[in-house]
Amino acid sequence: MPLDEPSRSAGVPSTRRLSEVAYLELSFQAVYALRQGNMLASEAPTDPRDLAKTARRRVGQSKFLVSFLILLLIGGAMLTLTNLFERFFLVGPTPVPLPLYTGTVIAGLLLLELSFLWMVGLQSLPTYLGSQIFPVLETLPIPEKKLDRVALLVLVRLFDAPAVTALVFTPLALGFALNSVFAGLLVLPGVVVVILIAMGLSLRTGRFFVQHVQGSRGGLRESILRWFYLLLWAVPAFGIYGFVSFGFQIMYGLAYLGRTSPNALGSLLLLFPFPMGLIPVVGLGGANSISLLPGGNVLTIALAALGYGGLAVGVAWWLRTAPRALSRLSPEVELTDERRGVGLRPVGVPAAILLKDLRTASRTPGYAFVVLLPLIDAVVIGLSSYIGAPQPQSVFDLAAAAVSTTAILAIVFGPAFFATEVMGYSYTRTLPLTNRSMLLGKSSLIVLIYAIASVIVVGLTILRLLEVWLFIAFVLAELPGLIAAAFLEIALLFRRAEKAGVPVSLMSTGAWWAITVVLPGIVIAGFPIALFAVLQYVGVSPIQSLLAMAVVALAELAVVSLLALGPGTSRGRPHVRVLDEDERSFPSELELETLLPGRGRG
Amino acid sequence: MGGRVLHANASVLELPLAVRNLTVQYGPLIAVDHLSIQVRPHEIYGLLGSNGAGKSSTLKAVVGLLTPADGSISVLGHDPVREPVFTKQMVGYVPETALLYDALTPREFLEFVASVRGLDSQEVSARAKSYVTAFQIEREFDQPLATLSNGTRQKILLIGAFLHQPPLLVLDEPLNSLDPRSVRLMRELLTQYVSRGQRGVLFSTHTMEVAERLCHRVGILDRGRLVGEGTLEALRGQTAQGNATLEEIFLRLTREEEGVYAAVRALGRA
Repeated sequence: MPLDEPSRSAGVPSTRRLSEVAYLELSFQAVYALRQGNMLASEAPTDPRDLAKTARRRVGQSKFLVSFLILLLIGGAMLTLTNLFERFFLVGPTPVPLPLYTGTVIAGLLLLELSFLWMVGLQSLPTYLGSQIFPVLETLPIPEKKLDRVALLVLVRLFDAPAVTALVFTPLALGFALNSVFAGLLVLPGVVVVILIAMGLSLRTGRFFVQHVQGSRGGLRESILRWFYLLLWAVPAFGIYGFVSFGFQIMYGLAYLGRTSPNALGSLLLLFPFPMGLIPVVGLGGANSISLLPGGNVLTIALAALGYGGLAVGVAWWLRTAPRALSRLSPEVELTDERRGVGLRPVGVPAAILLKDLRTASRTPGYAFVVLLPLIDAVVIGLSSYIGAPQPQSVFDLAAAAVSTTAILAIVFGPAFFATEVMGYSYTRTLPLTNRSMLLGKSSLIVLIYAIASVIVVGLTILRLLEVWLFIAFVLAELPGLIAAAFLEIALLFRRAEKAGVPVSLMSTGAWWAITVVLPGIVIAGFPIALFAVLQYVGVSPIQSLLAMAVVALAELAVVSLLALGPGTSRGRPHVRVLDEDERSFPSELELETLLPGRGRG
Repeated sequence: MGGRVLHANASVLELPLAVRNLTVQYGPLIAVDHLSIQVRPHEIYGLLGSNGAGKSSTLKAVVGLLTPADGSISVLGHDPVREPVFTKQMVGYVPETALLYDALTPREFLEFVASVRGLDSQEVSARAKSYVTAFQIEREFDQPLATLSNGTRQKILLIGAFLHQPPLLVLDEPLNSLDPRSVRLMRELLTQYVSRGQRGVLFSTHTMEVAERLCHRVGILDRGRLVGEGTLEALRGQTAQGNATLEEIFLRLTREEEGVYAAVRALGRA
């Protein structure tokens, strides 16, 4: 090395210190999205330290929410391992052997934890990539290995609270439910493997997104292909929904398979995460307990568990460098000489907003997930009518289940699309867009999700429903209530966002904000359905109940429309503060001076 | 629209832009301090200033992104604060940084802009085609904006601003990131643009050469205040510098001339 070349490691702060700053920037961008053109509210704190504190708090709230949901799953698994549930499964028409029951519940819990953590990773990845932390750090005199470790630490910080919740509470809950501390501890390897695989899957799917989705050209064929790819993002969600919805059927199915084809069950038990779920079973009942499993062989299961452990070690090794490599990845641009002409096809303003949101979603997994989740739910509900019910279901039971779940999911996730405006925020505010158009455009997405989900349920259950028209009447009766809920939510979000000037990142930040917007929406959307249920309960005829439901839903729509679209609604005046370029850049000069003292002195 | 404007006050309200005593504040910081400027029909007005002088803040207030703390703005006689939708229809804006919907392609982005502006399909397609051909971006027209270079993104923003042929173009450092061919094209395009109708252009720049060649009049901002305004000749007269370039005039008016030499001397000793 020439004498005058500065050392790559001289005076560089610790990995932990660098990762702290990088993580703070990530949180900051997740909440304020300044790098994507958002502007701060005029009433936002002027001191960057206060802004950073708010960003930390919001991201913390979001992690708390996810951790709480994981805790609920663990609690659910603990309950199903109690005597009450066991008795329900161990006897009856298809008795389930106890080791199979316990192993399946633990494996199910591990699968749910994997799905949840994978989902957390997928939701955080666009912010991780969009925050552009590492392209800035790469230009500083920081050794390569240190940069790799910083990227890994930042990735770990994305998962920390949910992962720690799984690590601590899974053994505790299982130890308590199985009345064995040892069995509880034996679930730990499974949880560790799940966490590592979830992190690995998040990064692999993230790579896939950058390479095949982000750079995909426009056009109908390409759009369809992108939506197909994006189904990948829905796999974890499907895992959660499928397992929760079909848990009992899966249990009985496994027991049935054990009786009719023990070898097939034996092979199935080698699939991840069954072997990890069976480790505590061995701890609880000794090696003999596996012999109670039809087709089960303790050696092959142990080998499979070791194999998955080895895979997790491989993933951990890969993770040393993968997070930084991902941040340097560029989209694969499809170069083609195919020219489609420059013709533009303008549409009405609400339709343009809807189209823009769908096009954005087709290249952004976080938003695609928002559209796909209610549709997946509809598929699950539709399929469950075949698997779960021995007889054709009552049309109103099915309709109430399908419509309420679909409506609530659309209402919960639909407003998240408001956050898409952040990406071109400052530019969009210079276009002659009225709040009314924005409200109609954003609400139409919620209605579209609801309509497609309803069509899916009807399509999947049409053979079991004798009175399809009644189902359609139920869907239509709820529709005005759903539109009213969408209007209310979007109007609340719009006013709040306008006032505060921050993006509505429903999925990742500001849990309290989400609650104050989503809850009124759920109340409005749920009230007509609740009224229908009550009228049915007190003996009013279904047709009269349906009419009452429709009248109430229409009344809701009339009142909310007046409030949201009537005179006096806001015209979108700006109350924003623009940061200087220095404030936008990462890290700030002050931070750089703290991080790399003396860097400017020769 | 024109009749209504003329009826109120023909002499002032026909102006594409009239800014009077504009003050923009960020908390305690005054970014723009009682600024008054006008953009006349057929005029390209350049706003010059150092970093943080208040150029972008002025432009953002004009397009309705910022609310003035004091003063008034009139776009063809309409107030952007009271009539935001109408005035936004009258203005084409290019922000200083090309922050767009990265997940959209140029075609999808321009379709969105054309839809919001309520433009006719045939007319807007023909116009888009001529601009896309002029800027040579047919190949990138169906690639996501996230994958395009800054220069190409800037071209898309410029096309978006021209798409509805507005009476007022507000361009914040519009030539940044553009290649020499496109800079030349833009210069010709803007000159041609203001020659038709009652159109005006307000644009900010750091590049004195561009301002000198392109602008009919310039305003020089220093710490939010207008310290000089007029044609190059008028500014020369104002500073008593017969053959001075715009750069020399700028440094003199902003009292930066001595500061530059002092900084160079200090750097030479370092």
